[in-house]
Amino acid sequence: MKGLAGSRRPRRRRRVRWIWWAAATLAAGYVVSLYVTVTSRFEGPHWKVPSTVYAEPATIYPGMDVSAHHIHDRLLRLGYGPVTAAPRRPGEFRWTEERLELYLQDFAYPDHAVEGFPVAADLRDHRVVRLVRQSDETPLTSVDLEPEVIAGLFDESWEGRRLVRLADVPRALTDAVLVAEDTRFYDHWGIDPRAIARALWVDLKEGEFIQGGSTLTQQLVKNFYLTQERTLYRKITEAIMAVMLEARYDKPAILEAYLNEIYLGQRGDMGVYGVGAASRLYFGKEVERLTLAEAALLAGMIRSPRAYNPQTDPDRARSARDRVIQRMLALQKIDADEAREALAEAVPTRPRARAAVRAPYFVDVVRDQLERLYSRDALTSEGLRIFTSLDVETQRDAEEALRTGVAAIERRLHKGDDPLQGGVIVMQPQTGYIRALIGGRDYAETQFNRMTQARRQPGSLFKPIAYLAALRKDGEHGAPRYTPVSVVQDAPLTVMTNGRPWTPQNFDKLYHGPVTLRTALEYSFNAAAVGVAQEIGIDRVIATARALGITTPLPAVPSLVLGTAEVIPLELAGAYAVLANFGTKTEPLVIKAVMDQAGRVLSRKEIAVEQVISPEEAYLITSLLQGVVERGTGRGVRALGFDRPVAGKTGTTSDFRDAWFVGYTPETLALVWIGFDRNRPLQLTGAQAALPIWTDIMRRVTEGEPPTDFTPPPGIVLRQVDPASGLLSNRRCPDGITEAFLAGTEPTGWCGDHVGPGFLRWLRRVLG
Amino acid sequence: MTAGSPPLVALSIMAAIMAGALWGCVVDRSPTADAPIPPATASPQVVAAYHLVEDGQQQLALGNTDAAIATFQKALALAPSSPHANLALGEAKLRQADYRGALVYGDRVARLVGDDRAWLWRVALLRGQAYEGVGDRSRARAAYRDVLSVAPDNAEALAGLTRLDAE
Repeated sequence: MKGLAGSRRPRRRRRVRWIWWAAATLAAGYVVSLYVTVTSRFEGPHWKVPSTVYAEPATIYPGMDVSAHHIHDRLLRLGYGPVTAAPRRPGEFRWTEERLELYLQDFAYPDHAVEGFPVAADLRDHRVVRLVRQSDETPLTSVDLEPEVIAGLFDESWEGRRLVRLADVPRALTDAVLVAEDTRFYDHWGIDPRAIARALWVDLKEGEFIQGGSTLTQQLVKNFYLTQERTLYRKITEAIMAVMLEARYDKPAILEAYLNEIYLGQRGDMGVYGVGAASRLYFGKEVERLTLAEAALLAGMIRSPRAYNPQTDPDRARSARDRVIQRMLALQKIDADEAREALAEAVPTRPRARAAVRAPYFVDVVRDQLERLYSRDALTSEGLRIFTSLDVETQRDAEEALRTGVAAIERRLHKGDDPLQGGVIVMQPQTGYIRALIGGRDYAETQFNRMTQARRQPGSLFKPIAYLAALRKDGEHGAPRYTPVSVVQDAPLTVMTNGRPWTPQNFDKLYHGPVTLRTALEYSFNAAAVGVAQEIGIDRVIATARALGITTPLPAVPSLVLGTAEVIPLELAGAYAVLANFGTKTEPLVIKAVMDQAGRVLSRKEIAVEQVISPEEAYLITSLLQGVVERGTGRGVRALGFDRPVAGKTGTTSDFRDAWFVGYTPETLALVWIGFDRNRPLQLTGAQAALPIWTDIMRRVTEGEPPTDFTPPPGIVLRQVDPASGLLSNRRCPDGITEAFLAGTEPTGWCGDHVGPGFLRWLRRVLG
Repeated sequence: MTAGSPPLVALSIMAAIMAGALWGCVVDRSPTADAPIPPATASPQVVAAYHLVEDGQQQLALGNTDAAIATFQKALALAPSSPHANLALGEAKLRQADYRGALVYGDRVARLVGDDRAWLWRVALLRGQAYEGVGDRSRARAAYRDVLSVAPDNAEALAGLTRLDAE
């Protein structure tokens, strides 16, 4: 028996030894894996910081109508809070009948950083009559409100974060955080047995987990690497990793990571992480400029950002803050005077920022353009700051006008499966800045951008391009074939297209005989347009369209002039912008500058200009398009009460599938499209469906702006002519209109013996 | 080396000197720097744009060209009909040797100021330098003469004519 027992013992010992070895190997592997986890994350990029897309900042200047520019709404969206006394902190404003006082928030622009300062604007009838820096009454010529955020480019996590360096964090904040969370931070090595013992005692007494006893390092480990579950296994892992972190990295690196990692509240759907983002959210300033009281408030919020949020519960936030201040005093981090001053400071009660204006279709265009320059990963993790041309109020105006306009149209239509769609582009011709872009009625429903991705027939919107081709000179010294008063035939005309005869018809099914080119365009006569295009050659029309920036295929067929070739709406808006801009093409522009997290400008987009047609030729078309609005198919603009100088054109495609209106004042261009994705006939013309929406948009966006007129360029001569004959008017035909001509092409004969009043006869018949 | 090389080299050097002289003129003095202040009838936007252009000129003087151009563009966006913003951008285009771009802005200023004598020489000078840049000597000469008809002592126009005559 003894012998048997003796032989079993070594075997058991061997087995135990093996178990020990296996356990030791497993433990070593576990520790190594923890170490790899700790170092790999800490040494790589710590966080994915989303990129931020900004709209154009609003500029306030003497003479500005603050009401028309919706400054009050802008302030609320930017998170400014109204106060009853003079604003004392960034992000506060006081608005009275005669005065707007606001304390600007800090903001880093691509070219300069602004430290918030108090500004006062004296108002009279909503207009700024004087603008001063409030501290010393220094007159100011203008100030910018910070640009509104229109989007964040996130990956799967919606975390808003602004990274800060420890060197930029004020001592008051680090002291407050350590006092609130881990007073022995500089004395322990990741875990603090004293704090654990104290917490255990409290937990045992209460019979549940009440006090954590976690060091700041443990909190960082928990947030950085682990889940929030409360299990013994997780606590042990957390402790081991905390010790590893302390062994591997120095205290300042750990503190900096902690300050950037902590969760400090919500802004809408987005979580606010780190003291940098929280400082902006709650105080409207950069972290460097936090006061002691503000630092203590942030530190007091760490335990429970929701409970101690100054925006929702200022009293609780204040008591949390005061506890931190008292403790800082007790630990001699501050003296009694500093504590008294900090305790006396009011808790900022800025309301939550109003929901931002979202421009999802615009942001998609921005994202598309960015993805040509930066990887998708860089866009969602490197915290780029993207400055765009969008004007949030213009976008809001366009959205509101489209929403109400389309709803009104729908009431007149039979309901179908295919919802009615619409799109809007608002741009500034001189800069190419896209001020508003709506690619469809409901982004949540469909993200297809009908303004930048769709190809639609432009219908009569193409005619001005054909007439421009007719009015252009043959080379620099050649004479143009037509002038605005050239008589063209609006008569039956049969041309061969795709091997078949085709006879274009007019909308009213009538032919109007000899009419001036102006009349033909103002009333959008199809037969006349096809005749002119045939006369000058379709190739010339195509060349002109190309010069204006149309890139889509344009088949050389007679019907091209009636807008049968599909175009991209944004290119069409760009083509009309050339006309508005006296022949200068400006590339439609959405991104103005891109900055990185460190404040370096990575790229900048300058306004690119190119003279593609002469200013005089462009002006002639503008003059003709002014007539469209005054007398022709676009006269609904005037009937709806929009009385600024404006040029525009209606467009309706065959079977009423697309309704368009494009028009411009000297400084703003808007394009509106209405139709169905599946090409269902709308049974409405551009004048009926798109024009009212266009007018509503332009009425809103030009409100408060001084009206400006189209100034003829030097090579244009103006003459008073008889609209029917195109000859100089005199006493025998006194109802003349002012007509523009390229110098040297103006008529020399007088009216009175003219023939060809066919159109006038038609007009009298139509008007009864 | 071919037989034709030496004249080519000489021509290149001459062209470089000319371009340098032209650039020097542009950098030395800016017609917008002392451009007339907007009239009392000017819109608030045009006045604000004028002040922004002043800010941009200061940035330019400090050598911060990108920031200056951004400020000029901001002025243009605020008031597209601002002659100051357009002239400043025209000069910026000259600095960048984008002479056709400079002509676009020159034409705009011409349209905006009409026959205002205080502006005529400034527009003509911008055009003269831009035409010289694109190699249109006859138009450049005519533009410089336009400058001198209004401002007979204008050094830039005189220098421009001298350069053109020397070619």
